[in-house]
Formats: sequence, C-alpha cells, structure tokens
Amino acid sequence: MPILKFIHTADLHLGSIVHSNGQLPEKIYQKLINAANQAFKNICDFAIAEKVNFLLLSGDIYDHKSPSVLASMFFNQQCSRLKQEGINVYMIGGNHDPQQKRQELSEVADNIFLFGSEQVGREDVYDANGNLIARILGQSYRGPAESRKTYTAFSVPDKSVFNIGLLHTQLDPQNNNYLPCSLKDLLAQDGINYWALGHIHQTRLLYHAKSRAVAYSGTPQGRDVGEEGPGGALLVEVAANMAIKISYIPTSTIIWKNIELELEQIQSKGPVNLTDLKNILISKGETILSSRPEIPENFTWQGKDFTEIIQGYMIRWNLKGRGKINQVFEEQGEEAVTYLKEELQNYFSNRSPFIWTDSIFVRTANPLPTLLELKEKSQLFTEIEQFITLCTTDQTVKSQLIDQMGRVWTGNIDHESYSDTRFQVDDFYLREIIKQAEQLIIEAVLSRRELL
Amino acid sequence: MKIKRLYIKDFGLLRNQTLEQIAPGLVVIGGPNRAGKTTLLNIFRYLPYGFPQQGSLPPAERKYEVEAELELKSSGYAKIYIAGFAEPTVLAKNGGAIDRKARDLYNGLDQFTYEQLFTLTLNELKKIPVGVSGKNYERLQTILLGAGLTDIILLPQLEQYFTKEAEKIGGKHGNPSVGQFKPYYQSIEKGQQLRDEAAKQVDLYYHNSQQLNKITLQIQGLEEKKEKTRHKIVLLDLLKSNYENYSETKEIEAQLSSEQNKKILADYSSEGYKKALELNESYRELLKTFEEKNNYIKDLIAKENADDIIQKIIAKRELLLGFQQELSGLKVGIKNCSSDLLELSELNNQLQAEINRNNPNWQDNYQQILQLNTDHVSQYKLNQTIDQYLELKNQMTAIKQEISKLNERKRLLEEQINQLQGENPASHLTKFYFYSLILILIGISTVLINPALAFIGFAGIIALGLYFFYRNGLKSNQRGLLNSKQNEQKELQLRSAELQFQLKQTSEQFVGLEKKIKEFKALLELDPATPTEVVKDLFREIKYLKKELTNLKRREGSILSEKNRLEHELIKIQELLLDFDQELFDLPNEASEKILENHQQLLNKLERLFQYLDYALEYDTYRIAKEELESKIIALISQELAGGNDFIFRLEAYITNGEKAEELLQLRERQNILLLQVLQTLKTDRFSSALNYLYPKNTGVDNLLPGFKKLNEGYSSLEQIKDDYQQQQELLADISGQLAAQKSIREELTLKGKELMTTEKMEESQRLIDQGRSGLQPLAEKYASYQVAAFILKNAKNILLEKTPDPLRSASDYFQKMTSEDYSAILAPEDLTVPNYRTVGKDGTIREDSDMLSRATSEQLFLAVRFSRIREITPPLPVIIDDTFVNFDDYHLSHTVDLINDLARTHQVFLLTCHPHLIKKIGESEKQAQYWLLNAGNFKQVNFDNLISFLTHPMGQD
Repeated sequence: MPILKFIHTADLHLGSIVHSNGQLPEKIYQKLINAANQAFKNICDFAIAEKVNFLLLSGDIYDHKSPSVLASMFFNQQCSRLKQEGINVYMIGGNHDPQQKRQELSEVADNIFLFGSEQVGREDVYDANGNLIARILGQSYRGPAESRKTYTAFSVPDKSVFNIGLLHTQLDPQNNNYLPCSLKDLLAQDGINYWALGHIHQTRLLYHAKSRAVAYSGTPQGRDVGEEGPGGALLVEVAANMAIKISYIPTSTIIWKNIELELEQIQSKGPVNLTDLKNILISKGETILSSRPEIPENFTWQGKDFTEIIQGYMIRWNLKGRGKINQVFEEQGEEAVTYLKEELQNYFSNRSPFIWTDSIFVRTANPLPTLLELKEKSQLFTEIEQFITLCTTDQTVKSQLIDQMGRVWTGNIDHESYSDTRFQVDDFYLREIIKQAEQLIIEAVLSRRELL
Repeated sequence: MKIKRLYIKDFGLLRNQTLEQIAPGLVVIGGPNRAGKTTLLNIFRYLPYGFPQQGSLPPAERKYEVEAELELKSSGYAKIYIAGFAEPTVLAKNGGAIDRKARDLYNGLDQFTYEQLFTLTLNELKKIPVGVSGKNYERLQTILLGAGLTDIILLPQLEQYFTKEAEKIGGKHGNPSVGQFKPYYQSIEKGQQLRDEAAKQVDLYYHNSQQLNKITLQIQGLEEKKEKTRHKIVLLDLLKSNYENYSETKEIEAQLSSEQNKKILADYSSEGYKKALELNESYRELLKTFEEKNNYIKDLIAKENADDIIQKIIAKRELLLGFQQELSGLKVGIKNCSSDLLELSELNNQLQAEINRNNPNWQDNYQQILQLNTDHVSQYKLNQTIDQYLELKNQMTAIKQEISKLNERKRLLEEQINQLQGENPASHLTKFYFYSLILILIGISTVLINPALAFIGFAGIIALGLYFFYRNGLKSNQRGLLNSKQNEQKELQLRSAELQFQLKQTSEQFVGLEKKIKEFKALLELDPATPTEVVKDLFREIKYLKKELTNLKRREGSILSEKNRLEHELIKIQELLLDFDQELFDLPNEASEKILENHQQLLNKLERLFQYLDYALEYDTYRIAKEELESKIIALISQELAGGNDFIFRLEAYITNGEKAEELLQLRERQNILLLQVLQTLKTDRFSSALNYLYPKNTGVDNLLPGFKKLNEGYSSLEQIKDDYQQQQELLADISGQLAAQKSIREELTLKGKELMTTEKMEESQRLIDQGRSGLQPLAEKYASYQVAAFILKNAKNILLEKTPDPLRSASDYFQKMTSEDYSAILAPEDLTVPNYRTVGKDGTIREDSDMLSRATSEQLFLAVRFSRIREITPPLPVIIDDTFVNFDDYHLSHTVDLINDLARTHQVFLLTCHPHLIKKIGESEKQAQYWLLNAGNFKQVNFDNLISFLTHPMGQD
C-alpha cells in the first residue's frame, strides 16, 4: 500500500489545437480542438478515481501561440473538481507560460499552488492524520527563456520525507534558453527523490533507482506529426520505504502517426496500381485500428484502456522507394494523391476511432539502379555516394547542406524554435531529402548519359 | 582506319571523281576558291552517317552517290556506299553487304563528335562553333574534354538544372515567401495575423476582465455606499416621521418625573381608584334610590303603620313569593276550568243531537248507546255481506233484463221468418222487366226506319240482361237470409235457457244474505225497514258515537276535580290577605261559595299585596346594598375613619388623587403608545435592517429604541433632520446615477468579454497555418531535394576533378608548341559546360576567358584541344582540315605544320587549302605528303611543285 500517490504531467499546452490539414468533418475537427483539454480531463478523472494525494504540473500548461480564455477557464474548472476531492495542484510556469507573461484569464481555483519565479518555493504535503508525507519544490520561469540554474537551490532540510523537484528543462547544459543542466547535475541534488521534468514532449524515464527517479512525463496530447504516438501522464507511487513505482496513464484521445510504406515491399506482393495501393493503405489503417499503441519506456499502464480513450488517429502516409506506381504519380500528380486521400477519408473518417489522412507524401521514384549498384560502374556515383555519407556524418558538410536547402528549412530542431514558415531539418528529414536528391541525381545522370 | 579510295559519282560540284591510292598519311588537296574543297569536306564529314536532308549541302545532279574504300586495321577492308539520303551501307570486298553500320567503322563515334573533332574548319576553331547551341555545348565540351570528364561535364549541367528547378520553386535562397511557396506562405501569414489578432484578443480580454473587475469593485463600492445612504435615509425618514411623537414622549417623561406625581403614582392603585369611583357613584345613586323607594312605598300603603306592614311583608316574602309564583298558574287554571266546563256542556249537547239523529229512540236516554254490543260485530264482515247482497241483487236484475230482451227478439225473429217464407223477392223487379221489353220492341221498329236508332233496341237488350242477372241474385239472397234467421232463433233459445238457470242460482244466494242483514239490523236496534245500503254507515256511526260518549264522561270527571282544587286555592289566598290587614284589603272573614266565580276580585287584592311585596323587597334590597357599599367604602379608603359622613369626604379626596394618577397614567400610557408606535416602526424590516447595516453592533430588538434615541440626540430640530434627509436624497440620486453608468459599462465589458473569449480566430488561424504548411512542405522538400542534389553534384564534381587527371595536358602541350611557348598550358574552364578555356601565359598569368585571346591564339587553342582529342580516339580516324590556319602568322604556322606532320604519322590527314604558302611549309617539312589538285570539281594527283604553281597562278592553268 503506497503512502504517497501522485500524478506527474507537463506540457499540457491547453488552448492549442491538434494540427490538421484539409476540410475535416466538423465532428472530427471538434475532437481536435478539444483534444488537449480532454487529455487533461482524463488526467483529472484518473486522479479523482485513484484518490491521489496531488497533481504535479511541470510547466507549459498553456501555449503562448494559442492563448485562450476558454482554456484558462477549463483549467480552473478541472482544478476545482480536484479541489472538491481534496487534491491539490502544484505547478510551475515554463517557457510558454512564464511568470512575466502570466495573465490570469479566469478565476483561479484555490487548490492551485503556483511556484514563483524569483526563488525556489516549497510546499509541504500532509496526510489525513497531519503527518508530513512529501515536500514539493519548484520555481517558475521568469521569462520565455531561463538561463538560471535554479535546480541548485532545491535544497531540503532532510531526507526523511519524500522530496520532489519540479523543473522545466531541456536537460542540455549548453542550452541557455531552457534551464541548462544535465542529468548528472540533477542527480547531484541528492535530497530530491523525484525530479518531475517538463519541456520535452516525449515520455522518458532518465533514471530510476529504488528511491530516486528522473522522468519527463511527456505531453498528454501530441499535436502534430512531430509528437507522434500516444500521450499520457505518469502515476508515481511511493512505498513506506521510499521505493518508487512509476506507471503510465494514457490520456491522449488523438494519436498522430507517420506511416512509411516502401514500394519495394509492396511491389513484392504483386503489381500495384492506385486501387491496389489504396487497398494496401486501408489494410494498414485497419491494422492501426486493431493494434494497441505502444506504451513508452515499457511502463505498466494504469487507468482506462486505450480503446476507451482513443477517438482517432491523424496519419501522414509516406510512400517511398522505387516502383512502377511512381509512373502513376508522375502522370497524375496531385490527382492521384487526392484520390487516395479521398478514398481513405471516406473509408475511415466515420469509424470510431476514426482515421484522418492528413497528408500523403509521395517520395517514390521509378525503378532505377541504386547508388550502390551504380557506384560499381562509375566513379561519379562512388563519389556521390561517399559525399552523401559525409552529408550526414560530417557536421560541417551537414551544416552547409542545410544552408543549401533554403531558408524555408532550419537546422534548429528545437521544437520551441518552431517557425510557421520554416521546417526543422531533423535527421529524418535530412535523410529523406538526401534520398530524394540521390534519386534525382541518378535519374538525371542516367538520362543525360543516354543523350550523350 | 584510312580511306584508300574515294569515288564521288554525284555530290554537288563533284561528279564522277575518283581519288585512287589515297596516301595513308598527309594528303594535301589544293584548289582555288570554289574548287570543291568544302564540298569534299562534307563528303568526308557525312560519309559514315549519310547525307542529311536538312542542311546546306550542295545539291546532287541526280542523286547523291559516293563510295569509299577503307583500309581497316583489324578487319582489313570495307567499303562504304551512300546513295541519296539513305543510311550508308557497308560492303565487303566482294560487294556483299556487311551487317554493320558505317559509323561503327569510325569507332562508333556519333556524327557530331566526328564533325567537331575530325573535320576542322575555321568554324570548329571558334569557342562556340556556329550551329552548336543548347545542349550541344555540353556535348562539345564532353568531346573536347574527353571521356574521362563526361560525367564531370554533366555535373555542372545537372547542378545548374537542379538549381534552376529549385529556383522555380523557391527562388535563389529558398525563401518561403517567393515563387511557388508564396501562396502557402501567404496563407500562413494570414494565419499568423489571425493568431496575433487572437492573441491580442486574449490580451484585450485580460485587460477587459481587469477593467471588469475594477468596475465590479467600483460598483460594489457604490452599491455599498448607496445602501448606506439608503439606510441613512430610512433612519432619517424614521426620525422625521417620529420626531413629534418622540418629542411628546420626552415632555411626558418630564411630567412623570416630578416628586409629587411620583408619589401620587406610587400610592395609586388603579383597582382602588376604579373601585372608589364605582363605590362613590354607586353609593350616591343607591342612596337616592333608597330614599325614593322608601318614600314611595310608604305613600303607596298610606297607613301609619306602613313601616310595620312593610316589615311584615318582608318577613313573609317567601310565602308571598310562593303565591306570586302560583298566581299565573292559578289564573290560567281558573280560566281553563271555566272554558272546559263550557265546552263540556256544548259537547254534551252535540252528542245528544247526533244520537237522536241516528236513532230517535235514544232521544231520552242516549246512554243506551253505551249498551250496544258493537264490539262483536266486524265492520268488515258487515260490509262484505252487504256488498254481496247488493251485487246479487244487481245480477238478478241484469239477468231478468236480458231474459226480457231475449224474449222480444225471439218474437221478432219469428215474425221475420214467417215473412220470408211467404214472399217473392223478385216481384218488385217485374216493372223493370216490362220496360226492358218495350225498349227492345221500340228498337226493332225504329231500326227499319232509321238504322241509327238501333241503339234503343240494344239498350233494351242490355236492360233485359240486367233484369235476369239481378233477379237471380235476389233469389239467392233471399234463401241465405232465411237460413240465417232460423239459425239465430235457435241461438236465442239456447241463451234463454241459460239465463233462467243463472237467475235461479242467484236468487237462492240472495235470500241467504237477506237473512243475515236482518240480524245485523236487530243487533243495532235498527228499524228493519232501514235500507240495507245505509246499514254499513249506520254501524260505523254508532260505534263512533259510543266512543265519543265514553270520552265525554271521562273528561267531565277531571274538570270537576280541577274546579274543586281551584276553589281551595282561592280560599287560602283570602286567608292570607286577612292575615295582613283586613281593612287594607277589605275582605270578609269567610270565603264565599261563589268564590270561584268571584275569583277576580280576590286575585286583584292579592296582586296589590304582591305589588307591595315588590316595592318592599326593592326597598329592602336598596337598604342592604347601601349598607354594603358603606362597608366597602370604609374598607377602601382607610381605617382611621371617623363616624358619620367623613368617609364620603375622604372618598372624594381619594378619588381626586386617583384622577390625577389616572391622568398621569394616561400620560404614561400615551408615552408608551408613542414609544410603541416608534418601536413598531423601528421593528419594521426597513428600519431594523437600516440600523443593523449602519450600526451592526447595536443589533437586537432591545437596542432598537436606545439606538433611535441616540440618533435623535444628534439633531436639535425637525428642520435639521429634514435638511439632512434632503441631502442624503440628493446623494442617493447621484450615487444611483453613477451606479447606472457603471453597470452599463460593466454590461458592455461583459458582452465584450464574451466576444473576446471566443476561439474562432485561433482555430481559423491554425487551419490557415496548417493548410499553408501542408502545401508548403512538399514544395520545400522538392526545393531542398533539388538544392541538395545540386550541392551534392557540385561537391562530387570538385572531388572528381581533383581525382581526375588533367584532361588538357596533351592539349596544353600542343598549344604550347603552336604558340611557341608563349602559352604554357590550357586549363579547363570553371564551368565545364562552356568551352571557355583558361590559358596560362609563359609568365604564369591565367587568362580566364578564351575571348581574351587573339583570334589566332584562340584558334590555336581550340586546334590544340582537338588535336589532343584526335589522338585519344583510337583506332585513328581520318582527319580533314580545311584551311584553318589562315589567321596564323608564318612563325606559328610552321609550328602548326609540324604538329600536322606529326599527326599524319598516325592519322590520315586531308589538308584542304588554297594557300600555296601552307603547301610550301608542308613541302618543306614533310616529304611524304601526297598532293592533289582540285579544280572546278576535278581531282588530279600532282606533285608538290605543280600544286604550288597552280595555286600561285590559278588562272594561268588548265
């Protein structure tokens, strides 16, 4: 029987809307609008059902790009529900909702404890018998960037009680925007049993020994393909001997997925035309619907089953590789993509859960020799192949390459530096683009040679 | 491969020309202008490929036809034959076709390459030869730079292509706001604007809600102030409306507070006072009445011993009262008794008359009725018997009547029957019979005269027919009638017998009943002749009379008994009266026998005594009351009472104090009432809430009045209160105005807040941004792919270039020699796609552009490059040079000729020229050259000198 039970979550980004493309049915669109709120509600429902001691929010409750009065009202309403059950909420402001920019847009529930930005705050938690069972320390961001190493001031009087530190950090000692620190630095603060981190939107368990742990809860609801997979929160149970048990609470109602399909794999199953491709995508979609999303970090899961939570999937299909189907795309262009999209929407949009095809990226090419095959015959391809390798391994070349990609791309893959008009070149995109460039080169060289 | 023999059957100027035994090395073909040198060049140019249909080739006379015998290194021999525009055919020595293309004999070179490298004119020595454009640039470069750089040459082109493709999409820098990105960028921009607006909206909401909070606080403050003012007004209103009352209470208080009044009140007893008043009044009235009564009764009795009589009356009042109570009953009894006696007498008379009526025999002794034994006679039986008797009587009468009727009818029938049996019913028709006959006869007679009169005869015939018909009918009727009469007669007889029998039976019954009735009459002592019909009523009457008589007797007894009693009572009364004073009542000593008849006088005297009694009792009552009152008065006022009427005086004094006390109490009462009124007003919700609001510590009912008093103390006059009231009213109006304005603002802010909290803008913003990004991303990827491809190619090219040996080393050597080492090297152009070679001077300076060179030097450069390429292509192919050295000076020409001679050692070189000095140079340096003269399309093999001579003086030669 645990002596202490609490929920750790962060990066709610209430007010933000799950990204989408196309003319969505209103029913689905409303689900996207409400997804972030619903995820938080799921957390509160669980907190009430489990009768947790308190709820921790490690920053970015709101989204500075989507400030919303209704989101503020919703948040306070949910906290009021928790208040009725005797559950307090301890939170810090992150880079999206720092202290300087804080505007209380609705009446704040009085069970919310927001740590200030000027110094580390501490809240003691008592059980029903008046015994001290936990201490919670935290400090909010002052502004949209935080370069102070606030964690160094997270000191506790003793270790007899379970001590918790709330921190919103990139966990990058070189990054002066998001509280520079490392895992080692946090572990050095040995008075803290549990570091409840926020900022990174993926769930990660960075450290777990018997009575110490460092974890990112991840965002409860992913909003775009960059936040693929299920979202959730962490249930932390502390035994009398301070042993920590962490479980995962799935909360996201909408799941983004990036599905890659290699034409070569499809090709091996027989000739492919648009209808066949459509059927393959449908089959893949059915597989998604019948599969269970993967719980991150191999956590055990708690709370409702996925089938009760998930309302739909947003999918980006990536068609890659070489195959005859590419000719169809070359001939029909957008029309082929539109056909596939429409077929998939008609098939899946009324299902429960639904699947919405956000986009179909066609990165296919005609059947041509690969670079590996060609380099055996030509020094040119050998050099190209070698240089391509450098593009991903040599930082200087990589940097030049990214510059070459145009100002519509940026090498800064920090999700906080997201720009609406630019795309972040992460390793995935870099590989994809290099691959496409490779295919362009091969096609062009071979066709030019024929001319020559 | 070398051309051994060339036969030109038809090609432009050249017709039926054969060049036999063509030398394998340098072949100089000299000829003046328009001799056919260029024509020959074209033959050599297109020999492996066929003549193009488009182009500037000289026309054939009939059809192009050329044949060339080749000496091949590996295969020995082959012939190329071209006819018209067809593909050249390759023939074997025996003339048979070989399945090979002519170009294959030329190392598979394409036509462009052969032309650019192996058929040289001044055009080919230009940087960009005429006719070379577009993609042929790179081909030319490829050709000139060699196979090793084919890929390298491709790369810049591709790089350029990819870059251009990228620029189409996103301009030079991939800026998201240009090119094909633009519409999506604009969508994103619009979304961003909306987002900013939404963010501003949120800011506005925040400020709006701040303002709203502020306004709400202000409104709260104003409402509190308003409430306070309103309550103050309530209090002031209360003070105002209760001021006079309250002032009055204060005055009363002053009065009540004086010592004297305090004492009066202290000694005052309300009960005592009331009692004193009552006693005083009562006593005065009583005394007055007492004296009146006393005097009256004395006057009434009018005797000297009136007092004694009065006392006696009083002493015997019980007795008298008893009589008094019985008097009315006695009167009624006497009256009733008299009435009863009278009535009794009348009844007696009536009854007697009735009895006499019924039976005169009882006239003298109607008591006989009482003897009749009517109890044993049943009224019912009597009635039944009489009814039966009467019924039978009637039946008998009816039967007799019927019998009489029957007899009469029988008589009549008998007469009728007799009549019918003697009569002829048809006799009355006889006259009709004769009339009919007459008509017939008349008819017969007249028809002879006038046939139209035949109808008379017909009428007669008809009438006769009718007669016979009717007569037969009558006869049958008559028979029927007789039968029916006879039948009826029989029936009557039967009936008559029946009736007779009935009559007999009825008579027997009737006699029995008649006997019974006689018995009844005897019982009732009735005259036998009395009609039976009345016996019933008589019986009933007798029973009634008997009963009435009995009752009368009984009543008479009770009346007489009552009479006796009444007389006895009257006697008692008389005795009573005599007891008081005989003289007073004027009574005899003894009762009279007619006391009952004269009862009224006696009773009148008794009533007079009763009157005295009433007055005496009344007098006595007053006397007792007077004494009681006096006791009460004495008890009330004090025990120090002296005798006599002092108590009256003291009572009056007591009363006076009491009156005063009453007044004071009334004042106090008034004060209380006023205070109560005030308190009632204070207790109202209106005041209590106002007081609680302004003075919350002074709550509770007990504090209302003190609070009110305290409030009043703040004002010295009603006017002051009114003034303050007025001021507060004005203030309230002012606050209300402010409040209304603030509330209006609050409403506006609330509405605005609702508008501002909506998220449509944000949703639309995100939609636009997502849409924009969704469209932008594939383009961005495409752009990036092209740019990355270009980048890769650029870098790959550089790497390749570094790794590839200098393709122009050999050319550099040639160039160096041609330029007499004025130039040391040729370098590949930066842009390999453009044949823009760089040159390195002997001083090391690099000229980046071949355009910077002189014409001759430039031609030497391109010639040097070609020479180096010609040598790289193996096996060697024939080279045709058509007067390309015209711009070379003599010095450099010599060097060039040396290179040509050197080339001719490995290649068959056809040098076409019209310049004798060139030929001289060649002759000086190369002894094994073969010379041909070409003049006006004719070939002739000559020697060096002849050729020189001809070319020097072409017009002087045949």
